[in-house]
Amino acid sequence: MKVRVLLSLTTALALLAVGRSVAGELSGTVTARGRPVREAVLFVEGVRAGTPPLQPVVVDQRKRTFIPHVAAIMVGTTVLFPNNDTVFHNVFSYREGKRFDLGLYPVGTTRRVLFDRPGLVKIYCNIHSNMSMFLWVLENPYFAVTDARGAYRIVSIPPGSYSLRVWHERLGERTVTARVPATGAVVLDLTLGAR
Amino acid sequence: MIRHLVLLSAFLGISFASAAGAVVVHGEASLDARARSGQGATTLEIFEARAALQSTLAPRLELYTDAGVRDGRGVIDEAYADWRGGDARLRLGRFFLPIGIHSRSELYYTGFVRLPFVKYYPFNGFVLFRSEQGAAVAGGPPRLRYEVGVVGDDGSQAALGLDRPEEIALRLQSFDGHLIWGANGYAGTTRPPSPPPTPSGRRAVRLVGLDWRYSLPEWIVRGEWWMGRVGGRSLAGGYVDLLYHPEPLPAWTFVLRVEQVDFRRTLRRGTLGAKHVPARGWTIALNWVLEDPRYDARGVSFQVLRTVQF
Repeated sequence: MKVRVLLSLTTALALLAVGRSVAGELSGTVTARGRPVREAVLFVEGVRAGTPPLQPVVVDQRKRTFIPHVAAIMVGTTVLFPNNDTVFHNVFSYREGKRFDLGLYPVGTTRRVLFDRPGLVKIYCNIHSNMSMFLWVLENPYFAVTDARGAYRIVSIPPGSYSLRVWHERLGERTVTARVPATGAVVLDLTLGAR
Repeated sequence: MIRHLVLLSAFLGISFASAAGAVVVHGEASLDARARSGQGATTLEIFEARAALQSTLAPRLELYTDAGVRDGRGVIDEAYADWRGGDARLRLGRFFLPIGIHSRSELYYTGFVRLPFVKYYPFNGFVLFRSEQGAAVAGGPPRLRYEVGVVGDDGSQAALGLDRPEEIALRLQSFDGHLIWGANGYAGTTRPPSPPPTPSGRRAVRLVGLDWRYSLPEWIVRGEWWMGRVGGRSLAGGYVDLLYHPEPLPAWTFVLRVEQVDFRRTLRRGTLGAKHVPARGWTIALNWVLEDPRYDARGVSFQVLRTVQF
């Protein structure tokens, strides 16, 4: 009995070690003209992997603003759009990716949308013309959105050479090659805009 | 006086914005320019320029001010403290009467250049965007929201109005599927628009009304209907709006309104229009208004609305 437990423990530790050794990490910053770029989306292209989270993602509506303004999710993720503002909103997306129109719905209520196809979804409110958000729907979990310091971190990437795409709503986009080793992190700082 | 209040509101917003720590200010500024062609003349005007500031003073407490210049004169449409706890919301100050469809954005940003007749509050004279001083409480679960406003001072902007709480507005709202409906009541006294108001000239007002919004993808049908008595005379009126936002034309919304008010005389108006959003924060609306030639709005109205958020 003791031997069996010991064997199981050893196997588990070995698997854990292997698991660690085959997952790399990409991190760095995105800048434009020497300044950090927030809300840039970075994602690995051409790879289908992972499963969407069971928990829905929330895009809030407060003060006539979508929060967050930029987000990335996996295909198959459900997004909740609660109206936590003081006025009605009419959330819709007609242009690319998922198309939907949630109609008018009252303060304190929530509508949900399942994003079942990849692509960039531009979301608006048909009452408030300055409300907009960008939602990238991606085929794998290897993505990140930069923070206020322009920093990003993508974890648990299998080793290999990948096409890494960087996108920003105003600064455009570019694609670079990223080589992820079997162990450790790769620091990849990127610039957008004039190069 | 008004100018001073506008400046004070702007100063309050700026001072909160500059304060360090927990106070956060959001705001928007908009410019509404209009051209109208009708009755043999074409006019061009800057209808209004306004700024709205929403200052978060504490996690549950906000100060909201909405002021600007309309028709060449300073106005403060709203200025209130707003406290929220759970489902409840308490406002103290000056705000739009919480009855019917009363949000500025739903009335002005959906493609109609003009407010419906009943939004001019015909029971108290044609006063555009009438707001009142007082207190308003809203609460309840989303399935059955209530909103009660106790207001006074008849829009004079001279005092808070709580010393003369002569008007009460009540609204219940619920929804079922695609339909959102509201039941409204309004009771108080009000001054006739002419001759100039005097304390003895106040009239009793009792009104009840319904409002509704029914929305499907691409389509919204909404409206209000009011009836009651103002100074012993009966009043009935309302409007129905049809909004069509076609999927193949995502930047366009086409609108149709029919409306009628019966109060002393019958006013009827039809509006056909289109709204275009060429870029974030820009709205262009074109309305063709059909009504009695004696009234002001007949003809074609063109509106450019620019809103910026900060």
